[in-house]
Amino acid sequence: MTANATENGTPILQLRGINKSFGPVHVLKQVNFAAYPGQVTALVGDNGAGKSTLIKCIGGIHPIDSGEFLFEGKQVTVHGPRDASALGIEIVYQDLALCDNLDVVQNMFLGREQTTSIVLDEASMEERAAKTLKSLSVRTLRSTRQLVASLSGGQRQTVAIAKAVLWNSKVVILDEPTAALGVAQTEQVLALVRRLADQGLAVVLISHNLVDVFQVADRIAALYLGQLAAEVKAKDVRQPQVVELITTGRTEGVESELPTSVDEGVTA
Amino acid sequence: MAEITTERRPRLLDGVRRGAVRVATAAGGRGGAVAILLLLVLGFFIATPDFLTADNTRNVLRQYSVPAILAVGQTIVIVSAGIDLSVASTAALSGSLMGVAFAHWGWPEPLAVLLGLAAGFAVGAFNGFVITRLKVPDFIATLGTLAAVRGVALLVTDGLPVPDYGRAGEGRRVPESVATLGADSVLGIPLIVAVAAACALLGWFVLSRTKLGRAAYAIGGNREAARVSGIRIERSKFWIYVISGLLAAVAGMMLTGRLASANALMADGMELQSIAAVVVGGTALFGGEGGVGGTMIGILIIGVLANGLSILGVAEFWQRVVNGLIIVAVVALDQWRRRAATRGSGGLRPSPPVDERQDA
Ligand SMILES: Nc1ncnc2c1ncn2[C@@H]1O[C@H](COP(=O)(O)OP(=O)(O)OP(=O)(O)O)[C@@H](O)[C@H]1O
Ligand SMILES: [Mg+2]
Repeated sequence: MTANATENGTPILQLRGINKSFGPVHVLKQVNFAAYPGQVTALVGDNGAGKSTLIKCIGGIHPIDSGEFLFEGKQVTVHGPRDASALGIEIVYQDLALCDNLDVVQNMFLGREQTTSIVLDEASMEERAAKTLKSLSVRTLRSTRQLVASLSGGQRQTVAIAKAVLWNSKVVILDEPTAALGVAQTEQVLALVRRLADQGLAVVLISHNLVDVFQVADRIAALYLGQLAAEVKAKDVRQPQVVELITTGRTEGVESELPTSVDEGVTA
Repeated sequence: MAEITTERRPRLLDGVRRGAVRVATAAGGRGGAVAILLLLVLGFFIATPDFLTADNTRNVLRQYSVPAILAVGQTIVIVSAGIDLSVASTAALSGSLMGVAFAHWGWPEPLAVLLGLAAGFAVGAFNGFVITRLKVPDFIATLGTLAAVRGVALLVTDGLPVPDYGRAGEGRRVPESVATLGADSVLGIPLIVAVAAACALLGWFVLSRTKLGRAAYAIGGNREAARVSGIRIERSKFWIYVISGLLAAVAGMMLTGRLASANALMADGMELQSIAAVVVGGTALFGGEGGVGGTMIGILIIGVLANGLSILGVAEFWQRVVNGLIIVAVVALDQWRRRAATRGSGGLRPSPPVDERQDA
């Protein structure tokens, strides 16, 4: 960790010792996590490991119970989605969080509509939305004025991603963005993920598909039962090791952050 | 079950159904309501020569201007998946307070009118506070104010009509401006209808051209998505209830002007009329769709029906029965349209990606 931190410069987003419980369920335990500009950090872990919970804490959807949240080296508190986006953090949630009853443009600008005085500036929003979709080389959408309810799963995914990259943000977090996609669209999204990082953004990618992870990720962080098992450079590990990290929390040749006995950590 | 019967249905019937659906889904789902309104007008026109006259048309419009104003606010509230049961009570309170302040307390006219508006603002803000801060469900909160605000109106007026000649100042009845707007006409158009039209235009503007309106649709459509997109749900809902309260105040003062008097029990039952207009106009009670245009069609359906029936000499008791049933019928028809559109190739699929994601 410390060695990596110096090697990669300072992380733009850094979490230290994050704890989060839902009632009696201790979902995140002392989690450390960091994202670096220009790099794709993959966040992996089994179902229920706490990946989505972690990014919802980053996005201000869930308040954290304890721990430090640093952005560009400064301690910050994120009380809600508006705080997160004000910092420059954009998140595509696993359930996409789109309004079916609104059209593509309306969804992309939801909560941040452009106005001239108090009147919605539909024309310029439509133009910007179209431009962004084009830059993502999205050609499958018939119209930006289509209701989101009428879109296919992949198209919805694309709209959700376009909504996140619309804002010239510094950190983009994608929770299983390829889960609903076919082969070609998955390739497109992965290429986009890489492109965003190459443009200097810090990208966090949550995925169960390790082939995808190894294709684009610079770093891999593995969550195991709510604890960070390891954070490694992608080129330093092989796929079977990551599988082991995901399923057991440790693997040979990788220094684990978990306490010596995993069981202890789990029951604590 | 439904799936199976659909498949077995003969081709012809299917075609008819599809045609009907197309008509009903036209004009943003408002086609059905427009068609019913036209049918009603046509029916009454054929049934009696007294229906489609300039006088009677004016009469209907004048009579239904007040519930129309209430229904505008109600539309915004319902689009955001709320409900405001207190609008009629608020109208009565605003009209009464204005009347008492002007006639009994001798306040200057502008101040009395302002007091009426302030009452509407206060009730709306109270509703908003109770709903967003105290987390009382919209229905319960406004059911509470429905009763409480009527009570305040009775307290303010001592349960007597305003102005009460024992207490009214010399020559003081209702504020001049309110009386003019409520009862006079210009070029044959009742001013109260113009006021209602202005309120409708305002409501349409808020819903379709402002961030608050967009927030209303988002909250009604997918509250969680609205929240994570950074919409301030609490704040938006608060202002939506304030707008509803203010429009109720305008409605109450217009009613006072039209009647040249106010009382604590006026506008009785109009909250239900306003809700019915919204629903008949194609705005779903669970929010996220519909608009002021549909609601205006809805209020016209209700108004034309009541007026036509009474011209035909249908007894008032029967009118109530028919009125209630037609609301149920229109909404049932609307539900059928939605289901049909979902089965067909319409753009109204509720949430398609679920299956597709499981496949992936
Ligand atoms: N709002 C909540 N209330 C209670 N428990 C929750 C809540 N959200 C998540 N959890 C619990 O937290 C744990 C972690 O869930 P989370 O959604 O973060 O997992 P995940 O790693 O994203 O899994 P998946 O890969 O299936 O998406 C689960 O046991 C889940 O039941
Ligand atoms: Mg998840």
